Amino acid sequence: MVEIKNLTKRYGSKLAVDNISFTVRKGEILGFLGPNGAGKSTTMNILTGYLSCTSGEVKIDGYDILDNPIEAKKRIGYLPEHPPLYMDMTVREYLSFVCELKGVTEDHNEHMAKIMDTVKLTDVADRLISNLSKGYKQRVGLAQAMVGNPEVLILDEPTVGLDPKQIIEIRDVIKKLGKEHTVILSSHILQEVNAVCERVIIINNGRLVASDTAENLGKSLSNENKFQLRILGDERSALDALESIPGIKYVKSLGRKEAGTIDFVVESEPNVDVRAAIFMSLAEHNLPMLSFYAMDLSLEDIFLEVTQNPAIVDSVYDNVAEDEVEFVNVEEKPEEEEGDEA
Amino acid sequence: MKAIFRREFKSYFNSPIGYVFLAAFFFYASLMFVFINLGSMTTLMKYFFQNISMVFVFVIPILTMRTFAEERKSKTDQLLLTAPVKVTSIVLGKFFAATAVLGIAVLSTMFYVLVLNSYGSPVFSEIFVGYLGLFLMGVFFVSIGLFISSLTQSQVISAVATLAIIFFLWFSSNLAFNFTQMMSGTMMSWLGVALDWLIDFLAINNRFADFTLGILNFVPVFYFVSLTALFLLLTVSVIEKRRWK
Repeated sequence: MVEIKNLTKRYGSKLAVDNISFTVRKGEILGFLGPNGAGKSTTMNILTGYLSCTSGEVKIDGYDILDNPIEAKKRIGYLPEHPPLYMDMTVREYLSFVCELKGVTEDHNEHMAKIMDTVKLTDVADRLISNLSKGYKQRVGLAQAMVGNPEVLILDEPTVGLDPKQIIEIRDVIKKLGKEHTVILSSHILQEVNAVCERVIIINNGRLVASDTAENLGKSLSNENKFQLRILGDERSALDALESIPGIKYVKSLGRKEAGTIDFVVESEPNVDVRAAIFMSLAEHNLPMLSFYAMDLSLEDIFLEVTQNPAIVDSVYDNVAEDEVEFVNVEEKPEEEEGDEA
Repeated sequence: MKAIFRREFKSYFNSPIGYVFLAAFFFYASLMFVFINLGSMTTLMKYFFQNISMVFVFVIPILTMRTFAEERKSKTDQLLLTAPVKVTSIVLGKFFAATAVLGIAVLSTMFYVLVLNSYGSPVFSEIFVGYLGLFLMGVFFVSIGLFISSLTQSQVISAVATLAIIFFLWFSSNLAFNFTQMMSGTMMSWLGVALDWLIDFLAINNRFADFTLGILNFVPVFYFVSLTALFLLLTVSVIEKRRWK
C-alpha cells in the first residue's frame, strides 16, 4: 500500500532523513517510533507530499507522490503534528470545507455525521474550533484526516498533549480505524506503539534502526531480566542473600527510600528466570520483599539494546535487502527540533 | 478551487479584515466623491478614479496580507498542500476571493454614478471604462499582495512590503528625472535610456491614465492582465518550490 524506497531528505548540510526504505501492507498498523528530532515528522511530511525528498521514491497504492500527486493524495488522510485547523470556523463548517476540498462524493452531512460519531465530536459540532480544548482539537484533526475515507491514514503523534483518558480514547479510535485502513502512526512513546501497532519501525538520527513486529520487539525486550525490589531489612544481609543466587549478573543498591527498607536493582544472566529463586532466597534469609517488579525499558534503553545487539533485529524485514539495514550508535544527546521548519 | 474560494471569502467576513477593508475604502471613496465631484460640481470622474487608485495603495495590503502568511503560521497550509488539489487551484481560489471582496468595494461606488445621474448627465461609456481600469489595477495589486504574502509567515511584513511595492509603482510616474537627458553625451547614455524605459514601464499611472479619460486601449488592458498572471504564476512557483528546500 505504501512503498518507500531509499528516502533521503537533506536540509543544507543536515541529513534529516537518511536512506530510509520500508513497505506498509494493506490493513496494517505501522508504528513509527523515534525520539524527538529523529526525522519522524519529516518522513511523514514527505509521505504526504507536503515536502519533497532530496532523493528516493514514495508510492501510495502504486501512485508516485511526485509524479501523480493528485491520485496519491486522494488515498491519504494526514494528521500533522499540529492539527491544521482554522480557528475562525466551527467544527461542522471546517469538516464541510475539508469534504469540499477533498471532493467527497458521498452526501457531506451524512459523511460528517459518521466521522463525528466515530471520534465523538457530535456534541461540539457547532462550536468554534478556537474555543475547543486541546483534546477536542486533536479529535477534529483526526476527523479531518478521516474525511473522504482515505485508504491510508498517516498520524503524526496523535496523542501528544492529551490527558490519559483522552489518550486511551484516541488509541481506541485508531485501533478501530486500523481494521479498515492502513495506518502509519508516529510516536516517541514505546507503550503507545506497543498498544496499537502490529509492526514497529524505529528511527533515530534520520536512520532506520530496526523494524520488527511489536510482538517480537516486546519479546526481545522481556529477555532483559532487570528487576527492582524493595526489601525490609539491612543492606548487608540483603546483598548477601541476593548475590548468593546463581544466574544473577549484578545487584546494585539504590539506598533507602522508605524507613527500614532498601531498594535494589537486580539483573540476571540472559534467558535465566531468577524470579522464584529471588523469592526463595529472601524468604530463607527472613527478608520480607515489599515490592518486586520488572523494570520498564525506556526508549533510550531500547535503542541501545537494538543497536548493540543485532540478534534482535534478525527478523528485520522481508522487503529490504540486508545491506540497507544499518545500525547506528545512538548518541545520548538530545537532538534539536525536528527539521521540518526551514 | 471552489472550496478554497468559499472558505476564503467567508473568512474575510468571519474576521474583522473584510470589514476593516470595506470601511477604510468606503470612507476614503466617499470623501473623494464629496470633495471632487460634489465639491466642484462635475460629472467628470477622472479625478475620482485617480484618487481611488491611491486609496487602493493603502487598503489592498489589508486584503492580501493574511492570505498565505497566516496559513503558514498556523500550519493550515499542511491541509491544503496534502489535499488532492493543485497549487494553482489554491492560489486561484484565494485570488478570486480577494478579487470578489475588491469587486464588492468597487461596485458599491457605482452608487455615486446614480447620484451624478440624478443631478447631471454623466457619460456612461467613459465611466464604465474608468471602472474597468480601476478594477484591473486593483486586481493587479491583489496579485502582488498574494505573491508577497506567500513569501513570509508574518502578516505585518506582508502588508508593509506590499504597501511599499504598490506605492512605488503608483508613485513612479512622478519620478520625472529624465535620465536620458541627464546622461546623454556620456558613456552611460544607454543606461539613461534604459532607466527611463524601466520607470515608464513600472509607472502604473501612465497605463491607468487612458482608462480615467474613458479611452479603452488594448495595450494597458494587456499590461494589467499579463502582469497579474505573472504574479499569480510567481506565487504558485514560490509555494511549489518551498517543498524542495
